[in-house]
Formats: sequence, structure tokens, C-alpha cells
Amino acid sequence: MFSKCVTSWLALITILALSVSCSKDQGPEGPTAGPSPEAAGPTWTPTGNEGNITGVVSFTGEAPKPRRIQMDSDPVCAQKNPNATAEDVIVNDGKLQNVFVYVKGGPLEGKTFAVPETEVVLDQVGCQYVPHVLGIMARQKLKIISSDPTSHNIHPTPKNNPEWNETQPPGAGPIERTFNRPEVMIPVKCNQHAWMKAYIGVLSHPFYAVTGKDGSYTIKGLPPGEYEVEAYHEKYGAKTMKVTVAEKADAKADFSFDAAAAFIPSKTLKVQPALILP
Amino acid sequence: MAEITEHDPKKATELPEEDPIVSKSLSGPILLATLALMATVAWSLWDEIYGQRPWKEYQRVFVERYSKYLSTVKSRQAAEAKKEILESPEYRKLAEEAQKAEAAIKPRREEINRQLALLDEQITAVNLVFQEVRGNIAVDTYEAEVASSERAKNSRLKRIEQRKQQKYTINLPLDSSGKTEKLSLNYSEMEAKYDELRNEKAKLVSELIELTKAATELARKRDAYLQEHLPDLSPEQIAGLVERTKNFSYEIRQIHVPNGDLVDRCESCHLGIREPITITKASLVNEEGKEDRFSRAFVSHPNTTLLKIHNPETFGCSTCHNGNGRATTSVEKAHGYYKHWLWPLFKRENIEAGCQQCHSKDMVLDYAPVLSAGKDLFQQKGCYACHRYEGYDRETEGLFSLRQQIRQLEAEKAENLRESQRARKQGDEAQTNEEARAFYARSQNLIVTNSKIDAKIAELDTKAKYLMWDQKKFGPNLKEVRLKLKKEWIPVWIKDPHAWRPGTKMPKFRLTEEEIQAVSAYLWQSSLQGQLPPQPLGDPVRGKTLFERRGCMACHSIGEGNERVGGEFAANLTRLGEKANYEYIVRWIHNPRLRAAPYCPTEKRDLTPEDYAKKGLPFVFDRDHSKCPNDGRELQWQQMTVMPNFRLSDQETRDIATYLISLKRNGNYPPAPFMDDPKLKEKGIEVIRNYGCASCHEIRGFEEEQRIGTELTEEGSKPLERLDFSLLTHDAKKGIDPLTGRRRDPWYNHKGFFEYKLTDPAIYDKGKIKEQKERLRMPNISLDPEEIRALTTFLLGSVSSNVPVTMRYNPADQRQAIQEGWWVIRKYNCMGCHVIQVGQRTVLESLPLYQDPDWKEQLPPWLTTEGARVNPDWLLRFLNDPSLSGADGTTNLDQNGKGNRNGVRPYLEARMPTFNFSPNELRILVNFFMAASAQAQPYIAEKLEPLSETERSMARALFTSQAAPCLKCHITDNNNVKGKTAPNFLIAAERLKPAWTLRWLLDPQQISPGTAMPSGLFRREGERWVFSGPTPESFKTYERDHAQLLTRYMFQFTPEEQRRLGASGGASANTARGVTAKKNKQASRRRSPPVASAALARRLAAVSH
Repeated sequence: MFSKCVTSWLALITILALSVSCSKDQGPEGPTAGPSPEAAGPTWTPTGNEGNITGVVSFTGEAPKPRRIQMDSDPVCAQKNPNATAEDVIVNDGKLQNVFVYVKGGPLEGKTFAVPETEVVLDQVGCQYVPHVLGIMARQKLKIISSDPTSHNIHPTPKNNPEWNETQPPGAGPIERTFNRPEVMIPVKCNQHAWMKAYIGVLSHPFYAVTGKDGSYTIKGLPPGEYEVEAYHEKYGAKTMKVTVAEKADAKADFSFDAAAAFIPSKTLKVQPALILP
Repeated sequence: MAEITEHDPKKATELPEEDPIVSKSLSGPILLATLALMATVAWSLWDEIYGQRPWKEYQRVFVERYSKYLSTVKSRQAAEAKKEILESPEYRKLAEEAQKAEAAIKPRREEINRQLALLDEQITAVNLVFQEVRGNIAVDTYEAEVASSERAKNSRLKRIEQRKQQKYTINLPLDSSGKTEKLSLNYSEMEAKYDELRNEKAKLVSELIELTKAATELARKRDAYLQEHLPDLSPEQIAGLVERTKNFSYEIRQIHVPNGDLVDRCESCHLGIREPITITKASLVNEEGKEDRFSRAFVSHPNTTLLKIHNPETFGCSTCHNGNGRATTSVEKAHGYYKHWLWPLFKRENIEAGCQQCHSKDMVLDYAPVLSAGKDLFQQKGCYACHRYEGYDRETEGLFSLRQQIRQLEAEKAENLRESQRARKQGDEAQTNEEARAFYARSQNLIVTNSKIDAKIAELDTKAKYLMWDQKKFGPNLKEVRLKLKKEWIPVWIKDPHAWRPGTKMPKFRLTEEEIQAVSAYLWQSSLQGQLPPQPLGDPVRGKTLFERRGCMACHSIGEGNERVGGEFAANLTRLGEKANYEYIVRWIHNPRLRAAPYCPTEKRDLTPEDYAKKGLPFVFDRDHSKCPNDGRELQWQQMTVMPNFRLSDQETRDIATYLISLKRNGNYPPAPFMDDPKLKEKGIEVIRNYGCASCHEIRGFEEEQRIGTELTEEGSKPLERLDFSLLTHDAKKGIDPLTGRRRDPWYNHKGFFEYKLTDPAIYDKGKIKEQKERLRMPNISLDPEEIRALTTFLLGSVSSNVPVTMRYNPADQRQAIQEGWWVIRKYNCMGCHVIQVGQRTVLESLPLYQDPDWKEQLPPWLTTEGARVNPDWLLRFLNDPSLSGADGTTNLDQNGKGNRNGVRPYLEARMPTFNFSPNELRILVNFFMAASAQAQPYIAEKLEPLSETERSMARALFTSQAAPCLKCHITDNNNVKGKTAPNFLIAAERLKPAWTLRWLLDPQQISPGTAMPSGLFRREGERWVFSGPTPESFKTYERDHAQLLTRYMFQFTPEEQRRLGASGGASANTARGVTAKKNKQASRRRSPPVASAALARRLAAVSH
């Protein structure tokens, strides 16, 4: 009686086990709904209580004398711009021109900013870049035109963006490009006219400015908060400062560069192995 | 019956009181047994279904998570991506074009289709009647043929005629509405109608094909665009995946490769490896959104390119990764992490080890940076000097076997000669003429055979010459220490090289004070004695500039610690002034290959001037005087160093040497009188032999020393018990770090052994009591963790491979030239200056000097397309003499004259040095570059169409126009290269290949990104390229390709033409100063006054001769 019972139990368990293992084989049913697509960070919109940062970049010590540029290697340039002077250091009344001032750090991180539809124009006039220093937002269109009756080539030498080098013969149409990654600064040169230099500061936000003849600048429309502002000059390097912007107010940030501290490119490079692999 | 009943109780009492059947129940034991059986069955079932099949769990989880994942992908990326593409202007344009084309043909197509439909109906209508009549006629014909009587036959024929004449009614449809036309036709009319309709149909069909051709092509383009631009998969493809996952079949997934009988079941659990959609660790997470062992197991193979090259169906998985591919019962077993499996899965940090077994002949491997670094380190750190490893130091190995072959051949020759003489004698004494002739023939044959052997020996001798030429020593020559070094510095250095110069390649040996003194004494006393000619000091400031700019720092570094700048390929020269003699350094920089005395390998000694004097020869040994005056065998006539000759002037040489000598901190070392003790010298012999100093250095008396280390070619497959963990075996098995004493995972395996050995080569002596001579001899190389990782990877992969030979990478085509070339390229550190591998960075471009954008054009050229760019014959000449000055590449370098420059790019301050390659290495290098660009060898230059006079003047006009700035950068005068950044056109014809030149003109940035040559010089106009700027008048009527015109012009450029170019007012000629332009007035038609200076004319004239 009991053994019979056991046998039937055994049979039952076996069947159960088999059926369980069989049912396992069929696997779960159909797909389930996935998570909703993630949206990119919201684009920042001004709220109306923004402030500005203004300031003046001054220059101490003896300003270097304006250097004449010899454009003899291209008579067209020499003719069009006979009195050209170098633009690397321009000091007027102790104020330094062409300093790129921008917000380096602060409560902007994590925010995205709309890229302006308008393009930034870089012109070539009398075999010099106009403007000499300019700011642009990443992915904003850079339109390069030439007002010279000679051939130029535009050759930016970025570190983080892809490098390119495009010719622009006289009368050719504009070249339109973008830099898609922030980078301060990208030197631009023309291989045919060694003196031609421009510097482009590419940023992910619109808070930058270039000092004018009087060394002044204004960065407009900043949300209140504490920022790190950097002033960058091609010869004298970078200086930073902490600035607090209050609601609907102008914050002041004056910088000063000294003649003695000419910028020397970083020497603290790491030693290179005999071979660097990709 | 009653009786029986009566007797019953009685009988019952007779029975035993306890009947085992009745009273003793076995239920208990049976129950137990049954329970045990049940448990066993349950367990065996469980084990069968789950225990032995852990992969089922993986498959179940995979299906669950993957289908969920697919649904999210489906709803998101693919659909969005597709939408994005559909809305992109490119796609819209294509779609619009396709639509337009479609719309344009639509009415006609519809018309044709309508006609075709009607025609089909008409054909059917005619056919119906026609076929019936034809059938009847056929029947009648047959009956006529087989008719029994003439009458019957005639009657049939009559009936046929009748049928043919009879009119039949056909209802021919006229349009789709059902309107018909009643036709009454006889047989032949019907046949004609039928053919007519069919012809009409064929005509329409072919028209339709022709009509839709363009539209179909556009639609195909549109669809192809969509397909190409979909980043991952189309929604349809994803739907396919969903379907497949729904019908997932739960089973072992197995790859069986019959070649090598490989069975891999890895994909039973690693189900996502080959999925067409990219699965990452974060894709198939568990319900809490966390990564777990499943999500890690399901990831896609991280490198699909590698997987494409090595199709798993052919290569399996464990071929590359190791592990036990057949095991399915547990993760540990499958991965081979248990005692009985000899090939455990490679750990992630050493994963590239798996490449080595098939790619042992590759020095540089794409996609395996760690392994490649390991292979390079094996050379860079000098491991190969003590440890034999197949492929490394092949010159020494080759020489050894060559010399053996030559000895054998010489023995064979002697034997032949004896045999020949014997045969001749036998011939002399033969009985018959016939016999004699046979003997004489035999004798003669042997003589001829010997002359063949002579040819073979001569060939081997040449090979030996080249191999000796290519043979290098890892460390400097110590036969000249007296000339080169400060005496007292030597023992200080030997004691601890890393203390004196951190990062040096000279390792630290475990020497006793006495051993140090003995070695120093031997080196000092065995050194060549002599006096170098005194040199005046140079200018150290100029020397520093030259050192930084000529290219020295692609190999050498300066500065210590964080200040260190430069390459690691050669020595750090920061404290050179503390150890070296000025005169020696001048001589070394002047020509590093200059040797004080030639070494004769057969006599095993350096020859002296007396050896030469005895034969009446001057003491001259170089490339052209490379044979031993005593036995005529090849000598080692140069320093065995890879350092090249920079063709510097004497003054430049002294400036650099003065700068280097000025680099010192103190330079006072304790006196070392023991170095002159002859007894110590004797002791030194033993020490030098014991530690294998001669593996890396040339040391007098040790020239033919053998390697002292163990061979490492198959070290990775050495049985574990043969790796001597010594007293650390316990630590290794228990998992104790012998360096810190802390717990770690057990390391009793090859990886653990190698890592600790490389960290501290003496570690397995720990706790052992040994004689000094018995101690482990391997010195400490001071490797950093990354270097240890790379070398461990290399050693783990160094196995006696089980992979069938056919599957290993031993190409016999051009790829072999690439394999061989890399060894030479690495040997001389070509990549310190040149980009050869796409994506590689050079040492030079990382130097501070070159960070200035203005210095970018001063970087040496990229060589990624060198084979496509240059003519191989020219390349051979250039590699032999990079100055292209006609100076002999080796001995007669015209260092003060024309040799002191770059042949192609004289404007570069960095100098392409003369490496003094042997013909052997020249051939390897040229073949490498040609193969790397898939160029056919030998190269037969394409003949270009000659320029007409008109074309020549047109090209000249364009070249010199303001719009085409060629001459602003390209050199027109090799002696005036200020501000120039591109080569002279004069060498274009012999140097370049036209096809490459054309590609370069059209878009140089695609060949060498960041080059000074701008893109966009030409634009497409119909079928041709035209110059994108304003062109001179003469081009108005020119119909041909402008870029091709310029290419042809460049390839037919002459010194004469270059002069004319200058005269016609090239951009560079317009220096506006020194105007003497009268005679050029005619040529000046442009807006700028085109004038050539007298100076320029003179310079241009100078180029022509």
C-alpha cells in the first residue's frame, strides 16, 4: 500500500519536474515596454534677472613698439597694406586690445545653450585677418571671406578639433565651417603669408568677449552666480579671476598683464616613449 | 469442513510466534530506500536540467532581457535615426530626384501598361481561336499521312484546305470596358494578326524598360543612401531580431572548426557576441537597472573589425582568448580557471597575448597596442640580448647559420677536389678508353660542381657582409672606454646605473663590491689605448639650438624627472659632461659608425695597423674595404650602433658636443686605482662571463660569447612546474603578495610568475641560501607597471601554438614585405620623426618646440602613403643618401659641403640623417613602403603625354599667377629656402608618381591632414577639374583638365623652365626690390608689377647645374 503510494508520488514528481523543465524551455512571453527616450538637457532661456560682467584689461610696463610687417613676398599685400603692423600686442594708453575674456567655470555647467543661427565672419583684408581675435560657439557657423585680390589659405591648427587647410583664391566664395568642440584658443594661419594670424575661442556657451581698443569688454546676459573668468592673450597667456554676478547688475572684472611676463609655451611635457601607438 | 475449522487454532499455535512476513514490516527500510531513490532521481534530474546546464539560465535571462531591450531600441533609436535620415537634405534631394523622374515617366508608363494589358487580352482572344484551328489542321494532317487509301487522303487534304480558307469570327477587345470588334479572318490572316500583336507587345515592353531605367537607378540610389546612413539597424532589421528572439531555441551554441578540431561553446552563454546590434554592459541590465554577471556576459564583441577579420566560424573563440571552449558545466571550467586546464582564459589586461601565436612575425600589429608595445619593449629594453627569441636579433642568428653553411660548403669543396683527383688518376690507369672517359668526365664534373659551390659561397659571403653591416649591439662598444670615459666614473656607474641616470636602459646587476671593481678593471685594462686628435671647443648656445632642432631629440632626451623632454629610444644625455671626453663625443657625432679598429670574426680579434702593414696595405676599413687582409673574410668595419650620421659640419659638430659636455652637476668621483690592478682584471673575466655583459656590449675577448638567458620564444607554454617559484610557491598558491605581504588572489600561474619576475628579477631568490655565483643573474631593468603589463602580455602569448599552420599569419605576398619592414623601421626608430602608421604620433611633434603653430611645417613628412607617392628607384637612392648630393652614403659624406642639407626638404631644420643602410635593409624598406601602399613592383613609370608649347606657357602662367600660390611655398632655389615649406619642383619628375601627384593636387588634406598645402585648389566642372581661382586668359578656350595639366607640367619641369618661371614673374620672384624688370615687361600682364630681381635670377641660374 505504502510502496504503491510512493511509486505514484514518484511518478507525479517526475511528471511535475519534467513539465516544469519543459515549461521553462518556452521562455518568457513577448517584449515589454521600454523606458521612455531620454531627452537632452533643456536649452537655457534667460529669465530676465541676468547680469553682466564688464571690465578693462590694462597693460603695465613698457609696451612693445608696433612692429612693421614686411609683406614684400606678396606684392599684392604690400601694395594694399603698405603700413601694416603686427597685431600680437596692441596697447593703447596702457590698455591691452585683443584679449579674449570668457567664462571658464561656474553655474553654467550642465546647461545647454542655443547655437545662434547667425554666422561669425572672419575676413581677410590687406593680408591680415579681421578680426584678429574672435569668439564663437561650438557648432556655430564660421564664415570666412576674402577682400584681397590675392590667394589665401585658411589653416586652423586646433588641438581638440579636426585640423583643416583650405585655399581661397581671389574672388572665390566664402568658406563656411564649424568647430564642434570647445577649445580656447585655436590659432589660424595662412601658409602663404607667414605673418597672418588669427585666434578663435570656441565655447559651448555665449559668454565671451574680446577687448576693444580701449581694453574694455562686456560679457552680457549671465545668470546670477559666481563665475571663474579667464582673460587670454596670445603673447601673455591666461589670467583667471572669480566674479560674482548679482541679479540685474554689472559685475566688474579688470585684468592686468605685465610686459615682463611674455607668454612662454608650456615646457612641462611628459617624456615621450620611443614609440607612441595609436 | 467443520473438522478443519476445529483444527485451525491448533495449527495456528504451531506457527512461530513472530512470523517475519506477517509481523515484521520492511516498510521502514523501503521507505528510506525509496526516499533515497527519489532524492537521487530528483537530484539527477535537477543536475541534468540545471546543474550541468548553467547556460540554460543564461539563455533564459538573455531572451528575457534582450526582447525587452529590443523593444526599447525599436521604439527609439532606429525609428528616430530613420526619421532623421528621411528628413536630411541629402536624402530629400535624392528622393525628390527619384520622385521627379518617376513623375516624368508616369503618364507614358501608365499608357504603356494600359496598352500592354489590352494587347494581352487581344492576344488571348486571337490565340483561343487560332490554336483551335491549328490543332484541327494538325489532326487532319496526321490522318492524311496515315490514310489507308488515296481517296481518304485526298479527302483529308481537302478538309485542310477548307479549314484554311474558312473565315473565323474573333471578338477582339478594343478597350478595357469590354467593347469588342468582330473580326472575320481565315487561317493565314489569323496567324499574321497573332504575330503582329506579339511584336507590338515586345516593342512596348522594351520601351518600358528603357523608360524606367533612369528612374529605377535614382530610386536605387535613394534606397542605398538610406541603407548606408542608418547608424545601426533599420526598424525592419530590428523587427527581425525580435522575431528571432521570440523563437529562441534553447540549446548549446557550438562552433566546430574541423581544421584543428576546435570546439567552442562559448556562445551558449555569451549570446550577444555576434548580435548585429551593439550590446553593452548597460544594455541588458537586471530589473533594478543594475549590471550583473548576466549583463556582463551578454555584451557584444567590443571590436567588430577584429571579429570581421577573424570570423569565429573559422577561428573559434578559444584560439584567441584561451579557456576551455568545450566546457559547459560552470563558468570556472569554461574559462579554464582550474588546476587541470593549461590554457586559462587571458585576463583582460593581457587579452592581446592571444594574437602572438599567429602573429609572431609581426612587429607592429594593428588593434593590439599592448602586445605591440611588449614586442617593442623586448627590443628597447634589450631583453633579446640575453634571451633568444625567434625573430629578434636575426642578424646574429643569420650570421651564425651562414658561417656554418660556408664552413660546410668549403669542406664539401675540399672533398670534391680530392675525389676529382682520384677519379683522374683512375682514368689515367683505366683499361679501356671507354672506362677512362667515364672517369675523366666524373673528375671534370666535380671541378665544375666546385665552381658552382664557389658561386654559392660568394653569395653567402655577400649575405654575411650585409648581415654584419646590419648587426647592432644593444649597448655601447666597451673596447674604447679609455677613449670615451672618465676612469673613476665607471665603477660608480656599474654599481647602480639607475641611481646615476634614472630610466637608463643599463640595468642594475646584483654585484658585490669586488665584482664591480673586477669588471671595471677588466674593461679599463682591455680597452684600446690611444689619443684622439684634440678639438677646439664650439659654441654651446648654438649647440643647444642645433641639438633641439636637428632631430636629436626624436631619440635622445634631456632633463631629469618631470623636466625630462625628448625621446626614450636612446640615452638621456643630461649628465654627459660628467662622464665623457669631449674629443670622443665630437668624433661620435661627426660619424657614429666610425670604428677605431676593424674586428675579424674568423680570427676573433680586432685587427691592428700592423696586420695591414704586413700585407703592404694602408690601415683603411670601410664599406669598400671590408675584407680581412689575412683571410679575405668580411670584417666588422663599423660601430655596431643604430645612431645615424647627421652630415653636420665640423663646426656644428663641435657646437653640439660642447653643449652636451657642458651638461653636468659635479663630476667628481672617488679615485679608482684598483682599475689598474692586473689581478682584478683576471677576476673580471669570470664576472663578465657570468653576468653576460657581452650580450649587450662589445668587450675585447668576449666577441663570440653566447647568450646567457633562457630562450623565451615559447616561454608561455612552459609547464608551470618548470617555472621556479622556489620558496614563493606557497605564497603563490595561497595568494600572498611577496612584495607587500598582503593577501591577493592566488598567482600560481604564468602571469603571476612573469609579473613578479619582471618587477623584481631576484624575487625568486627570496629566502634562499646561495653562493654569489649561484644567485639569479637577471638584472633589474626598472620597469613601470604598464611596461610589465606589456611584456607579460607578450610572454603569455609566446607559446608553442596549437593553431594549425595554415591559420597563422604567414603571408607570402606583399604583406610579408610589410611584416619584414616593421622590424627595420622599429630598429632605427623611424617613427620618432615620421608618421608611418595612421593615428600614430611622433616624438618630434610632442616636443615643446613644435607646439608653436608656426613650427608645424617644420615637422618631417608623413610617410603613410610614401609607396604611392614616390618612385621606388628614387626612394632607394634617397635612403642611401638623403642629402641627394651625390655624396656616398657612408664613408665620404661631404659634411662641410653639399652633403650638409636635406635632399628633398632643405627648409626643414630637422635633418633626415644618413642611416648607412645595407643593400639588404634598403631593399626591405623600399619593399615595405611599396607594399604598404599596395604598389606593384617593379615600378614602370607611366609615360605622360608631352606638353605642347601652348600648354607649357599656360601652365607657367597659372603657376605664376597671383591666384595660384605654388611658388610662395615651394622652393625654386635650394640655396635660398627662407620661409619656404615645400619641395622643389625640379625633383618631382624623378621622385614622384603622377597618379599620386594628381591626387595630392586635388586634396592634400586627405593624404596628410594638417599639411601646409591647402585643399580646394580645384573644383569639379562636369567631367574635369578646373582651377578654382581666376585663371589666365589662355585658359578660356582650354577644354581639358587643369589638374592634369599641372601634373604633366611638373613632370616635364626642367632647370630651363624654372628659370623661365622666375623670369615670367612668379610670386616668389616678385620681391619688389632690386627691380631690373625691363626685359620682363612683355611677360607682365597682371595687375601686380612682375619683376625679377637680379639676385633671384642668379640664384635660379645656380640651380641649373
